[in-house]
Amino acid sequence: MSHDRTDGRTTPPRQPPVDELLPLISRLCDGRLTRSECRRLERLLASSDGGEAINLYLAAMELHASLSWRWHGSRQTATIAAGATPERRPAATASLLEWLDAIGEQVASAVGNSLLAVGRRLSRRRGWLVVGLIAGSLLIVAGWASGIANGPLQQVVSFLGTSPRPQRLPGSIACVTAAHDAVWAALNEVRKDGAGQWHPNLFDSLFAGHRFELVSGLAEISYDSGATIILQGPARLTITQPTQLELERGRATVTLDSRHGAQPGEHARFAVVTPTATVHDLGTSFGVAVADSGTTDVVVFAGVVDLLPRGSAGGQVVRSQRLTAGSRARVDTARQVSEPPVGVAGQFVRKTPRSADGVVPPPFPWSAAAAVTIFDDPFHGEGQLSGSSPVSHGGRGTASWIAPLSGWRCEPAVGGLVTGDGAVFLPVTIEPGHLYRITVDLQVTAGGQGWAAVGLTNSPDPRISEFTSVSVLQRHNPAAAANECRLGRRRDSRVLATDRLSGRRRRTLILDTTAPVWRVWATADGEGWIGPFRLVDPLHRQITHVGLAAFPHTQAIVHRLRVESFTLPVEVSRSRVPGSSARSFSLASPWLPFSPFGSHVSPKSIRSIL
Amino acid sequence: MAVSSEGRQPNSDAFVKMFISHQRQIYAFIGSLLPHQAELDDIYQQTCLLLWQKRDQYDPNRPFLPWAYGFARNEIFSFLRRQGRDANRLSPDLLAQIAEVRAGEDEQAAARRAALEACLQNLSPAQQELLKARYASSTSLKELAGSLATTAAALTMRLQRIRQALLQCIEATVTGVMP
Repeated sequence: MSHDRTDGRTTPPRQPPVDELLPLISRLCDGRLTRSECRRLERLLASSDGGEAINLYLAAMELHASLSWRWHGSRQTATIAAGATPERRPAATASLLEWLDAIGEQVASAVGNSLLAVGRRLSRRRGWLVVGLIAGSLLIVAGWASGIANGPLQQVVSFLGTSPRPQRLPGSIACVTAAHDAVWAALNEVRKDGAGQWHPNLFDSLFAGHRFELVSGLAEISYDSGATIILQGPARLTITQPTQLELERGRATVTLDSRHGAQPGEHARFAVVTPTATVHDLGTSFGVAVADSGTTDVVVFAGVVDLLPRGSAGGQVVRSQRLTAGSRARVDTARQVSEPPVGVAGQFVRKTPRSADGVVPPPFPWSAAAAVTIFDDPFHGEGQLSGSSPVSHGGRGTASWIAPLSGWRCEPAVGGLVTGDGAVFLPVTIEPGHLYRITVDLQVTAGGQGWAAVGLTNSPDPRISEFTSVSVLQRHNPAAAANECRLGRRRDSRVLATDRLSGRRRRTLILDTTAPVWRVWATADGEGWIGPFRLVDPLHRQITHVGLAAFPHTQAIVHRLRVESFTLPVEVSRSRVPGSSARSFSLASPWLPFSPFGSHVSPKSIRSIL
Repeated sequence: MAVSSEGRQPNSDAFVKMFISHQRQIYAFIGSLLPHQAELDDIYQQTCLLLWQKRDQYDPNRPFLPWAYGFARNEIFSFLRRQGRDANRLSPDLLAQIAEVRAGEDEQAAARRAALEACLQNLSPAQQELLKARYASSTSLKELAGSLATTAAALTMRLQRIRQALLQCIEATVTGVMP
């Protein structure tokens, strides 16, 4: 660069004061720049010769960013390649597509059609954004929702105190949006971890084919297609299609979002199939009750439905019957249609009672069906904890408890584990690319100033007075004045403002390892979430143990501890290169917020979602 | 032309390819304005998200990087606004000026990045180890100095010398002049 002077002569560019600039820039990179040095650097960069100084600055910063990428930012790429053989590992700048090409048919056969099929089922609903405030205190929880097929990834931001919609998994078609005294029973579904039966939890994503039973209480299931179902237990049902529910027994009230309603003469938008009838919803609200015998009662509250007895009975031709608002019909096992008593209509719950305790959806999606149980310890055994394992106590997981201190005992008489001072640990392997859920039912019973906690640590020292090396800590302190439920470390903790500090509480920690900076959320009984707490320091990501602790002179009962993991879905599409037999792959995971294109994606995790 | 899976945006594949091949540049662009590791990670992450959200708007016939830099730039400056004025940070006006210059220097930046790998090999094993320790960990320089049994000031000086040596080597490689 040259600079024209007013006399028309030009001079060669003045060299920037490299000897002064470089140390300043270097100190800037290391976070060591003082205020006065910063002002000096500004003056040098903004001076009339600043062009060259800025070039030098950019060269130095480019170096800084490249070194950072090489050892820090590119770890995502290294993780991507973690499942590949070393010679196949791409350089930091190599693309995921190249890596996938290197994996070749191995991945093709594994992911191809299955994921494409998943992709076709993906929700077409776009994400959403909810913003709210409560009592002047702002608590942000963040997660992700998406509609992959035609909707962009949407960051979901909700504020505590609103009633945001739960996070959804791609491919799911419905979600449990409310539960009121709900008691579920597991049916013949196989969980991903081979645990066999499972039942949904509040805010779980539900997929086609999910079948379960609501033993008692109420539950609300919201379909993406716009139908909201209020189930009254006992009820047994199957989520069959995006616009269909199969009700084997029990009572359900269906309300269709008016935007999804069909005009008379159009096709139905939702159908309830019972053993004896199919009820086609044409944009309305109606109730269906199925008796143990299979007899189906239908009551129309608003709009129009078509009622079709299932199959022919005695060779008769079965015709559908249109029911309008206020009408009701019964289809018995002989497929005969009659009018049930008037009182049938009053037996349906038409509005979901919302609990007043402020249970809010977690800032991440979950599906009990796809979760893997790492540990489940109901503490049904008896005697010292040390050396025993969850399996010894009737649970899952074979690792042994580290509990050298004598206060930790399984006591069947109290229905759980009695704690004393100190901490106990279970070894756990935490891998990138997953959500981990640690759930503990905890009740502090004695010890005025003490606390009990669940945490994650890399230092299983039973004598520590606080999880000094623990990455996250949620503690339960009944003696504190208020708000002593904390997430984080001593000097960097967050408080769960909605926590109650007495009685038995279900403490849940969520560890999200899908991003390079791992994140943690916590809740007590789902009444608000705190987080994300970011594990910025790599040391804090070296988690080796789940821990329980009680200090000082505190007694508590741990009724159950569960550690589960869940792998978030990844979308993989396969392409054929025209004119050759070569294939290329593109991979997108809207659940991996750091890089949608493959951070922490290994062949293992790809296979694990199939 | 790639055959997209059913239901995908037609330009998603093109976008994915462009993003993957340019993510390091985007990272470097943000790093040129936000040297602090945690801030760099955060803004890069936000920018990735934003780009993914806006992928429908990407026109494959136009250069990818300027389009991506626009989003990165917005993320950086909204972050700086949220942070407020920090006396230990360059002023937003100056950073805006630097961003403008940086956005037009992709070729030079790419050449410097390419030269870096060879130049790293010229460093002594001890220097390489020190760089790795500095950049692979998010610990503060003071903590790192403690773990290396030295002072932060001494460590700063050593890192400065290494950076200076690398810059000289890179410059010589890019311009073809032996140092």
